Amino acid sequence: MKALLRKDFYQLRAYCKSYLLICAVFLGVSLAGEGNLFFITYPAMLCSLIPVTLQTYDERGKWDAYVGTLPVTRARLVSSKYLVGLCCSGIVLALLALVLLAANRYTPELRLFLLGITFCLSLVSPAFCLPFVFRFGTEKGRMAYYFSIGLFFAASYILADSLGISAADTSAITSWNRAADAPGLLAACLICAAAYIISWLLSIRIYQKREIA
Amino acid sequence: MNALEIRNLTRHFGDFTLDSLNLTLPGGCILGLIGENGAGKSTTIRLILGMLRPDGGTVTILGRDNRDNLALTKQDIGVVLDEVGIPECMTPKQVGRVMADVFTRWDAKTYGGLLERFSLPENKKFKEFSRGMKMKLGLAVALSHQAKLLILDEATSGLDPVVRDEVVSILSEFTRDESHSILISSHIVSDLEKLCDYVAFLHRGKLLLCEEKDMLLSEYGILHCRPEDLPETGVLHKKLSPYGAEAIVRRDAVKPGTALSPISMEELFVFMSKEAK
Repeated sequence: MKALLRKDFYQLRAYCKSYLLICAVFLGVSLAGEGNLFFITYPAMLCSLIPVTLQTYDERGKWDAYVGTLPVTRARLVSSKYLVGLCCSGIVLALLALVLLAANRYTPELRLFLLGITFCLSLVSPAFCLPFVFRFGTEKGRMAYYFSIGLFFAASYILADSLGISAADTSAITSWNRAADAPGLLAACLICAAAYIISWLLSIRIYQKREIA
Repeated sequence: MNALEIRNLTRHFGDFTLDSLNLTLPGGCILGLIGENGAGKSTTIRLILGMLRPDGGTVTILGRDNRDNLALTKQDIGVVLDEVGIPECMTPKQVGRVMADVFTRWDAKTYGGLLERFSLPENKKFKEFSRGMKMKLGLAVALSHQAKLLILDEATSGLDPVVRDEVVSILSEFTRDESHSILISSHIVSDLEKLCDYVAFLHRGKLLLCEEKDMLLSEYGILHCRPEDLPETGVLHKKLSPYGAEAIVRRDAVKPGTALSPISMEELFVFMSKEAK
């Protein structure tokens, strides 16, 4: 596992350096601006791409075949991608927490809401996408990713609409402080975490059956 | 102990079948798997390594069934594939660090020595390497964890003659230790002729033969004669033309004193493949 994480780290460093910069810029803009929901949540969406991006590089460079010759179990191979996803999610959450602490216009409830939605965003997409990637490869898996993004935004729009929040209307975001909605947020976080774990186990099952040509 | 035993290994694809393959690689020997493109060499290797699932048959590697804890068995196997598969952004130094966590018997000193011997710069990215350098890095990894069995899939194809010769000498060195064995597949028969103790001809998923190389070459010869002078038995393949007949024959099937030209592995393979069509 350590070997796979190390390899992914080298690839992240080579290919995804710009992601960190984009995250910092977007969070900085959200700190300087009035808390646009898009700027705050975009880094989470970006980091949710990372496990699939790494798998794409693996397939393109034939690492997926080479690793099949090494003493590495398929379960570990799959797990390493999910762990990378968790690490990226953790980094984005930590950066966002710093931004939210630095900006004093957010209420504790709103901070919690933004952290919660970021947590959900960073997990739900890879949870949906990775089983497809491990089953069909990254080309077809990517289609599933775009579908999942569309699905997520449609669901977010409906949810935000029902809560009276609009991404364009920042005053609505900053006014969101209803403690009564906290259980709903917690439930959403738990559902996303459960989806991630189920996806992880499903991907292991799928990849163990997959043939590597 | 045999390094590799394949028994009735079968795998069906749409229009291709690897048909009841039986192969044995004795310990301390080199077995060359020869076949044209699409003959089933890579399929065989992927079935050995558990990357593909067989429809039937068994594979035993170093005395262990490949269905039982293959990850543990792979600690004793070094593999170089046609496309090496090391991530393009990584340097040999980084590859060494990763492999140290993959293999329990990783020997950093041996790896460093091989990088030096192969003139591979430690800090140059894999994507900047030539094909020969990539192959050498793959070999350096395969030779740095005290592997007992090397499996090479088309590892010499696409290399220039100088690098190919170097690779061949490295592999010869590896088998000086009697516990080391090599399975090497290629369609470049001349490389295998230099290297192998045993050869297996694979054609369209079927094993045409698997024999000791020296015995095979001493067993057959090329006979040039008139068509009516061809022996009735022992003719493996014949080519008739207005100028006469050319045939691969068993030496014991022709009259003593008959002049036979020595046969090369390549000629034998081409003739046998044509015969099998």
